[in-house]
Amino acid sequence: MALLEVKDLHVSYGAIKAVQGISFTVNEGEVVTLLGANGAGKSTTMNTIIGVVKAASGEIWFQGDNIAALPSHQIIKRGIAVSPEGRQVFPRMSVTENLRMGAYAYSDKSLIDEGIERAFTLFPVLKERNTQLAGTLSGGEQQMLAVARALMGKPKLLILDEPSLGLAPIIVKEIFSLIKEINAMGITILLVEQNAKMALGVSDRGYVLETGRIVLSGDSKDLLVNEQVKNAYLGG
Amino acid sequence: MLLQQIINGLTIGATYALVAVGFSMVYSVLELANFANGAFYVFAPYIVVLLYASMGWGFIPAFLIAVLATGILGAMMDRFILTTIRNHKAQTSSSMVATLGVSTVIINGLIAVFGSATRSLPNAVNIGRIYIGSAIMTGNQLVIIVMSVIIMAVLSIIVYKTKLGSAMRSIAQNQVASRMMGVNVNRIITVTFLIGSASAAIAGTMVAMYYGSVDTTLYTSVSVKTFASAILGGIGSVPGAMLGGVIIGMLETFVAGYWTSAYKDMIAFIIIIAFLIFKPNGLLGHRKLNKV
Ligand SMILES: Nc1ncnc2c1ncn2[C@@H]1O[C@H](COP(=O)(O)OP(=O)(O)OP(=O)(O)O)[C@@H](O)[C@H]1O
Ligand SMILES: [Mg+2]
Repeated sequence: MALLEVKDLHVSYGAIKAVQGISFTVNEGEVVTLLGANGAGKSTTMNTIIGVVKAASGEIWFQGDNIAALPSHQIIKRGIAVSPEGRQVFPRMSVTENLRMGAYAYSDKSLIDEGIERAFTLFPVLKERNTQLAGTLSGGEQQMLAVARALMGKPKLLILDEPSLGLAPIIVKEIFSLIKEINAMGITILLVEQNAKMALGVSDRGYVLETGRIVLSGDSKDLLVNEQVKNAYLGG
Repeated sequence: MLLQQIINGLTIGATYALVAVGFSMVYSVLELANFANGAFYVFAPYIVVLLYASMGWGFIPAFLIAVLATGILGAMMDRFILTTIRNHKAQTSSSMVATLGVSTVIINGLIAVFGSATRSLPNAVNIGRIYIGSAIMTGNQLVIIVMSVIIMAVLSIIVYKTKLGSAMRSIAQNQVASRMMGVNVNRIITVTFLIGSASAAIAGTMVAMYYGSVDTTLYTSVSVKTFASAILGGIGSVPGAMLGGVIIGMLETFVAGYWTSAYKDMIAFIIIIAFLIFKPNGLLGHRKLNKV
């Protein structure tokens, strides 16, 4: 059984049909990439999975339950965490307070201490800046904080929406090697990326989204050599 | 004379501070100016008048029931009216008008039940008075100052040291991200209203006791002073609201004491206008700190 199964999902913003009947699965232990141009509906799909945006129709199965109608606070409790597009850190909270917010859905204190320690090991720069207000961090540091915050609750499914956006190439490399590391910790990852080459490089499978529909899917190694993908996302 | 003015100013300032903290907490989670807050402030002492002065309850149970009832009233206003407005993704101004509506209903309801004449509230705190040099601090004043300080300390601990407070602050900073962290945003906002309304109830009852009476016209002046305190301190800031309340209370006491009480209530208006023009973030308010 898949960890996450999205079935015929439709999402609209008023008259705008952002997602028009997509279906895909993420199996336990996998890294799955969602590729697509700007406005294809990737973030909408992510936000619908965690309940921040509500589906017009369709099903979202997580660990055997349809969570499509649940409020986000109940979905998060079930073990899904997100590092959202645009980082969305809490600007007037310190780095440590932001991390604590990442474990908000859980009350286990040892989980929080463990999570903070793990975050500081994965991102030493966050440790150096643990008392600094998140709003004063650099863009890259905020991105690391967003990923670290999402890891706090040791989620079963980690959703990363464009974690490399706006980062220097060297940091991008770091982020992607980190994705592998996180996956090796036993966390399943659903990754949204513009950087198709890097994303397919770390993932097992991928889906290509175009104007709200899935137009292509397959193993990452096949997608990497696919002509359509090459032309659209790998610069020819 | 000076010392006496300071004692009087601190007393009234402490109550303004307490109302303003509750008002500011609500403001910061929703960016909503809750016009019903002043009505809650007036509502609670009427409940005390009913239970304590009319029905002969003990003061403490009457007071506790009044605070609880007012808190629940505030929570219900959010749960049944404002939550619905939020879920329809309406403008904040719709919610603001709704709170104005609720305040009108409460005030008119009070007039319908209790009449528009001033109702007296016999003093329940008879613990004598303290002489400080030539100045006097009454038992009432002492209770008001001590209670306000304790409650504001508790509120600060809630806001800055508890998980509930983290949730409130996270909502104030980024509501969508709060939901992504698993915060039950609507519930936290309702709890914030409960706390804010209960704070207004405590302040209103203490002030009514202080003056020995309550009447519905207090609504307007307390609303203006709450806004003034919050704006002076930096709207949305808890320490700012405390500072703002004390400053306004002091200023108007000094104006009344050394000049004329006719201008006393004008101070709040002057401060609102001056700060909105020259220092809209107030004394302790934060500037936008939000890199994209
Ligand atoms: N809150 C909103 N209100 C109205 N339309 C929206 C909203 N959010 C997204 N859209 C529209 O829905 C479509 C899909 O947007 P979405 O953000 O899901 O795209 P995306 O694939 O994540 O793009 P990008 O790569 O630029 O992040 C776009 O046409 C966008 O304009
Ligand atoms: Mg996006």
